[in-house]
Amino acid sequence: MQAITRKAVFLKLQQTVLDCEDNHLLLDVLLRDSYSSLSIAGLDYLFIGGVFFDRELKVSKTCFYDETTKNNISDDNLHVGPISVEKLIIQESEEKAKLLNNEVAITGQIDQFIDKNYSNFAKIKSLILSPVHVRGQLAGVIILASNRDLNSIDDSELELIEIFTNLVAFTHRLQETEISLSNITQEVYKMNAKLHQLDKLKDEFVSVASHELRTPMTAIKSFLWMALNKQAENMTPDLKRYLDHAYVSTERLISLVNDMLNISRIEGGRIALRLTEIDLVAFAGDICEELAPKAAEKKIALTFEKTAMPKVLCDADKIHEVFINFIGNSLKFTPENGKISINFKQNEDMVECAINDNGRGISGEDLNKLFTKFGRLDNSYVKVAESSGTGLGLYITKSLVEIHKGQVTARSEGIDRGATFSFSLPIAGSKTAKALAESAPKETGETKELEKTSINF
Amino acid sequence: MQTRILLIEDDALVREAYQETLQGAGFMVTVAINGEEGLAKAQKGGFNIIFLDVMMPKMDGLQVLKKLSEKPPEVQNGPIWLLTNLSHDPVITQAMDLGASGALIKSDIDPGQLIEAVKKNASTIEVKTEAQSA
Repeated sequence: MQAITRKAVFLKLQQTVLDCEDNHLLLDVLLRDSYSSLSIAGLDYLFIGGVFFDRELKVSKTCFYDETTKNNISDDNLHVGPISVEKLIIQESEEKAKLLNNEVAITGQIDQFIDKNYSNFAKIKSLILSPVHVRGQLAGVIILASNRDLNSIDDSELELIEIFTNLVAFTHRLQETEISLSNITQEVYKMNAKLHQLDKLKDEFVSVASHELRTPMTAIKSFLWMALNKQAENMTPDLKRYLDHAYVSTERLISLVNDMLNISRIEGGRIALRLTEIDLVAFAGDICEELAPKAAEKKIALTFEKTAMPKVLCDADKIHEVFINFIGNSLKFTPENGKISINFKQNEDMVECAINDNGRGISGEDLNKLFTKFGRLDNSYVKVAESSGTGLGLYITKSLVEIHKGQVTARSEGIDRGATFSFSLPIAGSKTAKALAESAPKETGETKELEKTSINF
Repeated sequence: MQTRILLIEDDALVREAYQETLQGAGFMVTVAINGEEGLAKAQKGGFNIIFLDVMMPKMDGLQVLKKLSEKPPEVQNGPIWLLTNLSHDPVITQAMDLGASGALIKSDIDPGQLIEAVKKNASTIEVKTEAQSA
């Protein structure tokens, strides 16, 4: 019968720990409940005290329960209720030696550890000091005061105390883990908030810095324009050429600022997508029409394959940028009388659009640098051969496709053998399109539009 | 009737370039070098179009718009266009809410496009003499 009761008591104590919602109170709750529960199991104590310390035996926590005291947390960490922590732990004693050795110490020398003024002092006949060992170290001591003689404390009681102390040890370790975990979580939250703030500062900096850069660039551009448009007749051909080149370079600088703003926005997730279902083939047709004058200027045949394709889910403005970038690139690197053709194919969830040209082509070593920032690989200063743009256009194009859950590729058989750039977009209603609709950045006060990108055809 | 333009711009070189270009195109250009001065001149009214920078000393473009909408000049002005380098900034939306008619990004346009913008957007209101003396 008693065995069943004891089992029930321990299960209840375990449950108390498991149910406790405040990680900082696990030990307090366990010891408070133990005071009443252990007496049900036939183990009556005048008080239960607990003292816990860190690796240097510095007291980190104390608690004390008796019939009148619900909990007594000492202010000075030198006393636990009437128990002197100093005598228990700091001063050398036979009992301390045992505790450090992970052995239970039982003593009849009450006044050695307990304040004589304690109301129940006279009733205490023996003290049981049970060591709480965690990770092979003394992490605390449970102090039980009994009104029974030393001799009456038998093996079965000690066994029970050992089980109880183990439960305390587990709880202590659990509490430590939970507290450190919640500290870590708070740290992570703080760091995350700080990162968010830094990101915002970076964005603000980029934004203000671009504004500051644009002002002098506006002046340079305006005066160059004025010279070229109003004083052209007074210029020598050389001077005109110099100013022309300065004007083009200023435009390039302005595009660079725009592209850097775009990258900062794309990478910071601040470009919102307004997703609609579009017919990519018809869309490409419109863009071909838009670029027809440029193509005609260079006598390049720009054609697209009129084929039936499922609609894709995308932000039309962004995909317009993608087309302009890819076709613009082809126009730039395809000589007169060349050809550019646009083809489509369906591949599982995606429609793939390929822009083929029979232009200058790309060397194998440059292929893998094309979509990187400034056409460079990490840890290398070798750029993609000959680029008169900002060096960011293809990186932005790739980023725009990727935020649509698509992919970009570039292929070329080599120099003077043409190139094919392709990108994919999810078919409306497909799994990928649904994932895109869920994950796409939505318009908020913090999202912005893309800056004007200019392509030098 | 000569088109009257108020150009509120704090950067001396940008102001000079725009003023010269616009005058060269036959417009009458009044300049202001900060928001405060710009507001004072705009309050006299009678401009066919006002180009307003946003980031300026003493008073920014938004405050100029706010003050003008709180106390509109007795002699009406034409549309107010932001002439700024703050593209896609929430400030542009705010400015539109405060009565600006449009925005031009300075680094994106050349002076020729500024002339086009005047031709396209300036109002054809009859100007009273008060502004002419400004």
